[in-house]
Amino acid sequence: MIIHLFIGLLILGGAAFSYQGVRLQKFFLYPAILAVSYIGWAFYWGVTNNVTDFYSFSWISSKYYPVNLDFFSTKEVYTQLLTFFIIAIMVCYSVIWNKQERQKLNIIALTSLNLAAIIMLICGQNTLQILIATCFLDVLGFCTINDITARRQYIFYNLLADLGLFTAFAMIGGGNAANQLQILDNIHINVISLFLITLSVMLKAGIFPFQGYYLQMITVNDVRRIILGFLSTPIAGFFILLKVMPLIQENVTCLYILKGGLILSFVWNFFASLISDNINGKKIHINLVFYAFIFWVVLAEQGQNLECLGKILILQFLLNNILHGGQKYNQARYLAVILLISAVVLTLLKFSQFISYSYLGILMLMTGSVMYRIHQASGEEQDVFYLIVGGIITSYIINEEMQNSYLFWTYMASFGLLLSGFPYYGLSGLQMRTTTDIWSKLLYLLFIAPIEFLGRILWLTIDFIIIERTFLNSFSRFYIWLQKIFAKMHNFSIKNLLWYWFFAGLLLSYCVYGEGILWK
Amino acid sequence: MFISYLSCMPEILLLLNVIILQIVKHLRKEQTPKTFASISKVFFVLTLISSIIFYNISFSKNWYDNTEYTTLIKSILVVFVLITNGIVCRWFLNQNYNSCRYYQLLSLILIGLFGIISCQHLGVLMACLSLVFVSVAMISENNLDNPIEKIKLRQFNMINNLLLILFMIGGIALIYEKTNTLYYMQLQNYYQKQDMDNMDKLGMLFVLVPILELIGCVPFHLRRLKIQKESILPVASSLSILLSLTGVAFLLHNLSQIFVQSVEVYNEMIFVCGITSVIIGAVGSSSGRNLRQIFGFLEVFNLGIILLLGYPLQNINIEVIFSYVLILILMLMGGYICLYGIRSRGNYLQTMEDIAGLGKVKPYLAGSLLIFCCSFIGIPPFLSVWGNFLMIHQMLNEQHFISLGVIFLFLIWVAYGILNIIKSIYFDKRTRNFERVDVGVYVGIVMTVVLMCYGIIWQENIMDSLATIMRQ
Amino acid sequence: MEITPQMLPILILIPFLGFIFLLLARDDTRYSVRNIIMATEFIICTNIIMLGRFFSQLDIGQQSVQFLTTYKLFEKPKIELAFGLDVFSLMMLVAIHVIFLISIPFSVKKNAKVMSCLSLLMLGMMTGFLVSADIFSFYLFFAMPLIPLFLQIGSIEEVRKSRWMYRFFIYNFIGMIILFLCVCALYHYQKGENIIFLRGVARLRLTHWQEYWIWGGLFVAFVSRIPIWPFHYWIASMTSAIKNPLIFIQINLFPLTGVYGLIRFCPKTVPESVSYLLIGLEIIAAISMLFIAMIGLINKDNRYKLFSFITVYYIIYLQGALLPTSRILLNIGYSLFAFLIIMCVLELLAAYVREEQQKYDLHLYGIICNTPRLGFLYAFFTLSAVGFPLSALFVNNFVILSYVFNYNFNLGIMMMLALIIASASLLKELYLLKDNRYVQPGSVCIMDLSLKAFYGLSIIAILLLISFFNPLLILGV
Repeated sequence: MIIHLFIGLLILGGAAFSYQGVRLQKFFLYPAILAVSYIGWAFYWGVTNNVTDFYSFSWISSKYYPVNLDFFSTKEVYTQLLTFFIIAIMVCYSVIWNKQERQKLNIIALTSLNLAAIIMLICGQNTLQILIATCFLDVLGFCTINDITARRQYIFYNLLADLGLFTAFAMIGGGNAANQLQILDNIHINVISLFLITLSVMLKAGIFPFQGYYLQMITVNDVRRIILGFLSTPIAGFFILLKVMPLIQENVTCLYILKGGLILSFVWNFFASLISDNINGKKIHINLVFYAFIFWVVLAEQGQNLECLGKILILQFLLNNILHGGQKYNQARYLAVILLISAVVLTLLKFSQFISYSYLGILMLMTGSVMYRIHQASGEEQDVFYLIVGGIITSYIINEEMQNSYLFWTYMASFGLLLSGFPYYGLSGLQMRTTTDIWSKLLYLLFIAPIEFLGRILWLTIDFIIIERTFLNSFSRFYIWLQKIFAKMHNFSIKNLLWYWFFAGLLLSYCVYGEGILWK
Repeated sequence: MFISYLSCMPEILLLLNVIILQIVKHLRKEQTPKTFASISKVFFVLTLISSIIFYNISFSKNWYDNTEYTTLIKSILVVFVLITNGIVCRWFLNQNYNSCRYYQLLSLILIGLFGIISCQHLGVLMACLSLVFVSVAMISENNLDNPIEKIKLRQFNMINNLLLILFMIGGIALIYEKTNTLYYMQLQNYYQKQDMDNMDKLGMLFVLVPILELIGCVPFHLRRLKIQKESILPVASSLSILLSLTGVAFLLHNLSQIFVQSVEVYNEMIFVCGITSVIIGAVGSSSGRNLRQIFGFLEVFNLGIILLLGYPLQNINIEVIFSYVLILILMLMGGYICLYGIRSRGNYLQTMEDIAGLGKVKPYLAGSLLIFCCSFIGIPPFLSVWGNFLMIHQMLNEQHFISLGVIFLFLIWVAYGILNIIKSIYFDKRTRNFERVDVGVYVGIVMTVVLMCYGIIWQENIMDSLATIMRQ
Repeated sequence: MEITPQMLPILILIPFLGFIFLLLARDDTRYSVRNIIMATEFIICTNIIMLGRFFSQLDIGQQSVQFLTTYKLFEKPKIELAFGLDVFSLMMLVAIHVIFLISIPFSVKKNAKVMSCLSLLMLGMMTGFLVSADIFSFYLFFAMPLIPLFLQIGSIEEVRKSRWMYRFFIYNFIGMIILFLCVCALYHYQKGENIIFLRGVARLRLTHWQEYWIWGGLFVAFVSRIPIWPFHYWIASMTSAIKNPLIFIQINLFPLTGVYGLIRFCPKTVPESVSYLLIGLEIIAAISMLFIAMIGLINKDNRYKLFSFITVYYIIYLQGALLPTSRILLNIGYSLFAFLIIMCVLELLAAYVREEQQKYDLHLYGIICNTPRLGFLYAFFTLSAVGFPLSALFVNNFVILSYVFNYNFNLGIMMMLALIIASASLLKELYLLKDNRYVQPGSVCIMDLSLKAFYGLSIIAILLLISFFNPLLILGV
């Protein structure tokens, strides 16, 4: 079942990619949408009919390092995939009306292929399949970004992450000749491998301090940014963490590093979203907080309650869709936002309180900040009527479910702050550069710049001065000096002739009288 | 009796050639270089034929002996002269020089060389060597335009010849004083029975000196190189091969047979000469700008290797050495033939600056020169690979690791010199126009290449034949 | 047509015959370049068809040499030459032929006859090298390419002025001499053997000192072909001075002879007498990789970057070849296959960009922004080069590195570091070419790749993608 979907998505993606023009793309767009719908329907049919099968393709059949590509149609896989299917189909449909995006067929292609890669990642039971799927997602992400600066940072960060994963899995595979995930639980894993996996996960999800490349996506349009946010590398990071979580949790250092990063991610991105002037920038920060949240949940819940995480993902996706700048419908937007957040609240009930209410509070304040900015940009007069109405309705709904839950009070407090205008006036007056991230610069200064500096020094001192100018030059000069002496010895003068005869005489003397002096 | 006199037919024919050339020079009104070349060619061919026919007939076994070995050497000498005859004649024609004296002196040199190979008496040897050295001195001045250079060369030759003759006389005197004989067979018997003292050794070494001079190895290489650089091209090209081949042939076969029990006296001398020849030959070939000089140094380098292969003399593998010698001859022949093809405004060019850009206008000639140059440094697939293989095999047999190391270390220097030539031919900017290459040059090149291919394909036959002959 | 072992030398002879044919062809100024290119391509395609036929009859599962055929070379001493094929050598042959096939139309413009002749000569020699099954024929074809390559690099003025070509020749010549000495020594010490197969070298019985010198010599000879520290400076400078992509590619095929030699000669267990040499070699290799990768990162010349990338990979393969296992031999082969093709295409594209840049006198920043075909291919091949799963490079490198980590963890770390730095420098170059911040709208732009070139290189890209799944699929196996 899943394998058929996978192949179908690959074919659809490849076919859609093959046409790069803009003029005739409407002729191909609707059939592509239909194809996506069909695949979605097929998935739904599979879920409802509980179709289970298992397909394993023996890719490398070497007896020393066999590798299979596995595709499962099981309930667990369906659960994990459902969210992404929904998101993918919604993206494909939304592209029809999206005026920002001209290459609509490209979007369909990217979405399909991203989904196929996610299927491969979710079904992966060995390190190589995970690695391949992750790399595919990176390549697709690279194609998705249509801004050169964003692309550059994206590919550098993700290259590092992929090579880190590559190294870690190679270390594991080499040391134990194993790549199956089940076996890894029972064998000793090198600390460096775990450290690299942790770093890779953090890079993928843009966890502090590696959020720099996400911030560059300010210049990318909404649809593409949504694909990158919800069908691409952060998802890869999520599933990698899910699959290798038992290994990471055994190592306290890696756990602390990850958790530390998550906490700092929360804090940094929260303040950054409030300070930032750019709507897209704010949304990116919200997404980064979201990723940190779901990673924390995965760690805290030990990989349980994934259905709820799926729901939160869809809600976050919807939030991203709603929160975009425009001249109209801002009030209706307020209402929708409030409703979405209330849905989030309800979903958050499943998780432990501390995570939930801290995330809820941050989310509400950040969302409020975005709403304020949208409102400011639209030029409309501020009207909190819809906000209050929405707040009352949602409080009622929530109260029915929660009653005296900390979450409820957090919601109310946050709502109060929203009304008070904290996110409006608090920090938004501060001038802040939203296109660059100082952490990227710091990382560059800490890691890349020293390598470049070292490279220059080595090239100059060792290559140029020592080897070329000193050693080889000395050799050349010695050779020239030798040539001069030789030329003098062979200027065919009678003096030289006599000298050679003298040498011959000496040699003769030695042969006669000196026999045995040097050697027998 | 008459038949035994016939065994001297090759020498007689050569002498006749000298006389007839002289007669023709005086009597014939219309003389061109081709006249003398054609006459000489006839006599050379007859010499070759008579050498082969009377290969095992001796005039007197005490004085002058012909064997398969001597016939082989003589044949090679004459064949070489015949192959290059056409090109040499063309050279004289182009330069508008008289070739009579050249061919006369060449004939005298050949007589001397034949005598060196075939004689069985030290006195005869001395006479032949003297003939050769004097003829060489005369031929080296032949057709030189610059009188000052001529005088300097004459002085150089005179001093060198004087020293050689002194050594020869000294050597023979020392030997005669001890042994009272100069016949090889009697000397052989004497040295088998007696212990050697210093005077014996000195005498033997003194006799070796002119042979080493004939070979042209260090420290007796200076005159040869001077001739190669300053004399006319035919002299430079022929002498280098003729003299060296004879010297090596004599050293490894005749001399070692004369003093067979005591031949280890020569070992140190040969070793030192070999090593220094390798070193100086390599350095010289990489630092020169004159092509003839470079070829000269390359020859010195290879002669050094030959001497090292001949060390120690009591254990030589003569088949290996001769195979190497034949390969050297082919390479040098090829190289010099190419030089005959490089002309501009009637002048035969010889410096690197002169041949700059040759590859662009004369691709086949340049390609041939490239092939022969690459042969010198042992790049496959040329014949020298086989020669080097044999050389290494022999040296490993004798455990001469140091010699091997020195040879290949200095081969790198040689490679540098060869690179200079290749760079000059193909990459430097052309500064002159080159004249049309004579057909004879291409014929000579093709013949050399054919011989090289023959050497590769039928090397078994060559080795077997050599083995049979050497064991005589 | 049934393939017999006796047809194996035909693979070597076809390029040589092509060389002679072109050499003797008349110089026709009107149609010369086109005819020469077509003739050369025809000759290469003929060889590829022959290779395909060999592949179809090859037993993939068998690790030993197949289609073995011997020829007498010398009688005294008795030496026979042996030729044979296995999967590894066939993969290399296919890669090299594809490289020449796609490079010649791009690179042969001026001096077409000379370039094509020398290229065919090189191809013939590389073919001979890869089908050699005994040490003597191996040596012959190891040494023969030196002169044709020297003639090609000498044609570049900058190289000539700096006299790098001398160093290049002498450096490789030393390796050639050492190999020759070792080969002769092996024949000498194995009296009675008229043929010593490559794989049989490891089984020869030698004394301690013989092992020391011979194995040491072999290592030095093969490593001399790879631009390791401290000989990399002038090799890199020379390589970056070469503007003709075909010559650049041929120079960068030279290290392959060293890696291949080590793979063929090196036994699973290196003799004890030289085992410490391996440690030294590992250290030098690691230093070289890091050194060259770092210098590639700081250097602005994209040829230097490409050179550093190529060198790092060759050293990785070298280390893989020296591991005490033969399990990853095929992985090295598959990875090399993809690597060679990627290297070739990257250089061709880079050369095209340079040429266009000079023609229009433009800056490199954003030069390929408005050239979609060129941009796509450049990005594809760069991403393949840095290790994304777009070719056989990915999974096979993974396996090689896994084994390296298992054998020597620190070495593995150094390798990865070097790989990361080299990949970063390639990506930096890609970014530079696509950075459109300084491109003014309406300004002059370079010409995009022609459709023919695009389709041709796209086919290569597809072949690489297929190789990601199974490199043998390309040959219909």
